[in-house]
Amino acid sequence: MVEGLGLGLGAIGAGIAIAIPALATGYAQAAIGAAGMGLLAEKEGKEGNVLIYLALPETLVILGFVVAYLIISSLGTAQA
Amino acid sequence: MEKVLEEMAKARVFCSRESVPNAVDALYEFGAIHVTRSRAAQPDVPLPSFDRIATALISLRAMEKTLGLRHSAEAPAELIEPAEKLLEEAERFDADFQRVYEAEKKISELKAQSSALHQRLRDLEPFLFLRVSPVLFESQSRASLMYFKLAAGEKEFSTAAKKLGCNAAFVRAGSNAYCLVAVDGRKASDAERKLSRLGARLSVPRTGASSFFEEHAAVQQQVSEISAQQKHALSFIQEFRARHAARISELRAQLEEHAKKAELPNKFAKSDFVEVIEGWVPAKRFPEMEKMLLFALAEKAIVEKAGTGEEPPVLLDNPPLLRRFEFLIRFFSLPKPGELDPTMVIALTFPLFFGMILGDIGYGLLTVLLALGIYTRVRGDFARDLSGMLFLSGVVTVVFGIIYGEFFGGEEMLGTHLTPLIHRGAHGIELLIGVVLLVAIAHITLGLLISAYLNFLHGHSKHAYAKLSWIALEFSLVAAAGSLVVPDIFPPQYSLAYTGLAVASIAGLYYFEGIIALVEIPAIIANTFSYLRIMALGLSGVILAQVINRVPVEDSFEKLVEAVSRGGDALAVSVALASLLFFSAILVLGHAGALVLGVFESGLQTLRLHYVEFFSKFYRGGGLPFLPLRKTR
Repeated sequence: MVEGLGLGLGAIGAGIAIAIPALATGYAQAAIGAAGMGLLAEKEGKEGNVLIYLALPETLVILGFVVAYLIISSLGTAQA
Repeated sequence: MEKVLEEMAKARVFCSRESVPNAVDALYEFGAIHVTRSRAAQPDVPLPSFDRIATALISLRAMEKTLGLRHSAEAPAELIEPAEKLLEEAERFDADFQRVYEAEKKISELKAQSSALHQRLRDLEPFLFLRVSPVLFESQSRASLMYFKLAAGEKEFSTAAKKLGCNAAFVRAGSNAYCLVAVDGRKASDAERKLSRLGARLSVPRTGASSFFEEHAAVQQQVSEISAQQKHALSFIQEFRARHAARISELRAQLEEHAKKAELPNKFAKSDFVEVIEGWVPAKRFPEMEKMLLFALAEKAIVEKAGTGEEPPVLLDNPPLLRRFEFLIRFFSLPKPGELDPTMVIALTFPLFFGMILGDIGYGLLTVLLALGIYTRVRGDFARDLSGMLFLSGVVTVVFGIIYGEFFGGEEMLGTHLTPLIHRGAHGIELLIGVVLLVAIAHITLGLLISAYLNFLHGHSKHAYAKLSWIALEFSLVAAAGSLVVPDIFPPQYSLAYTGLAVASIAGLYYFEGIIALVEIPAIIANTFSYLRIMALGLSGVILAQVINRVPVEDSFEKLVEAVSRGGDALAVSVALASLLFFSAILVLGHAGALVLGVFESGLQTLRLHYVEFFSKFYRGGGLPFLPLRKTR
């Protein structure tokens, strides 16, 4: 039962590791996207820059994914 | 090693005001000069031809709009025809085009007429099968005729009409029922009021014809005539478009170039007799420009290289294959003079990272096909650059697909089992993490080495040694962390060495760059681990492809074969065929979506790694673009 509890908590941890960065990324991209659209309305030819700025916060969710993956793979190893 | 930018020279030309048109022609013929606005420039003094060119451009643009031609902003014309010839032709077109304007006007008038006639037809339709003369509907004192469209049933209406002492005759036209009611003129208003509860009284269209049917036929005849006239006018416009559209667009594009030429003197400094032209020229082409100008101005000019503290514009000068990646630099920012042109580096590392992320034989081949499709179907410099970049990236994706042993997310390719060197979907992830970290170290180290080299070149030795300290620190930190996660690549027995190296490099950083460098140490760790997105994105792409592959296409196919081989029951075969087609469509669309996502994300994240983690080590940008009068390559 303790092992099962550990497994469950680990899985929850992995979920949180993805979920919170994803929410944070969405929050950041909302603000960046709105500002980016304002920039594009004023000035043409800046689509490339806006796209790059929009992609910057994705680091959060990617690193969260890495952490989640490491948790899941170590849970799998522990179970084995 | 330094890939320097093209050296630029500031040219200054003195000539008489009378010879300015010849000077402008010569400069345009030369093309490779970025004319700058002189501080003493007087605007609104273009060449005399400008007014006529501007007028012609207004009418040509109006013609393009009328004919619905798309104006391509990316296609400036090569100047081959003289302005005078173009202007005469534009003026002839302008005269001819008046007939197109008249045809357009006629079409809109005919549309209005047609609309009115169609309304008339709609009004006449309920009366079409009524064999009563229209004259009878005009108000009479003794008897009144009314025509209703029935809302209630015929029987109900008939009963109500009889009660009111009216005579009723019913008419059917399609799904609608109508009733002609004759009533004593004195009872007409009462009858109308009571019968309106069971149907709507229709207002009778006025006509001089002997019957409504005749009137309807006459109006239809008019509609046909108007339609024929509209078609005739439209076909005239379409014929004009087919014959002249290309030439009109070409005239417009060429006259726009002439307009640019004619406006050039707005940038020149002027005195009563002398005009001064300034601009940036590639230094190696200065003699060529000087020769052309002196020839055009019959030696009555002074052409010199002017010393200046101004920052020259930047012209990227790369071999044809690398030129495809220049737009990635322009996306970010052009290098300043003295900085390295990173096009060559990004041309190598962009496809590498792209391939590492997407890494699939099937997706790689599709990316190559996509690149070829863009190259053959889409015009413009950006399309060419994008297709070149995608082609190389697609080829590297195929290579990494072989390394990962993946074909559309699966391990089998056309019946052959693929043997991966790094198995992304399973036990090879730790190895991939290690490889990615090594690639990260190599990439960041490259950036730091470039920075060290440039600092040495410009005499900033302290900063150069600081960059070398950063390299040492980066390696030691990643090796120390890697010895815990991937001990095969970073053996733990060397931990003391990693620690010693870290301490020495921190000391070096403090010595060469001060306390501020120590504050930036977490940044380099974050930069390095940011490259793990290569692993993360790649893995998510594989998982997505594997999920799509779970669509039961094979099972559907087997069911179809089974249904056919049992030899009967058309329903079972149809169901099996329908499900096979359905699941196949899901599979194809799913992989198409995964490909689009994969290409987009791989490109975007690769660019991000370059712009943020790589360029921040040695590149500031902010260079001004070199804008020649005319593209000459």
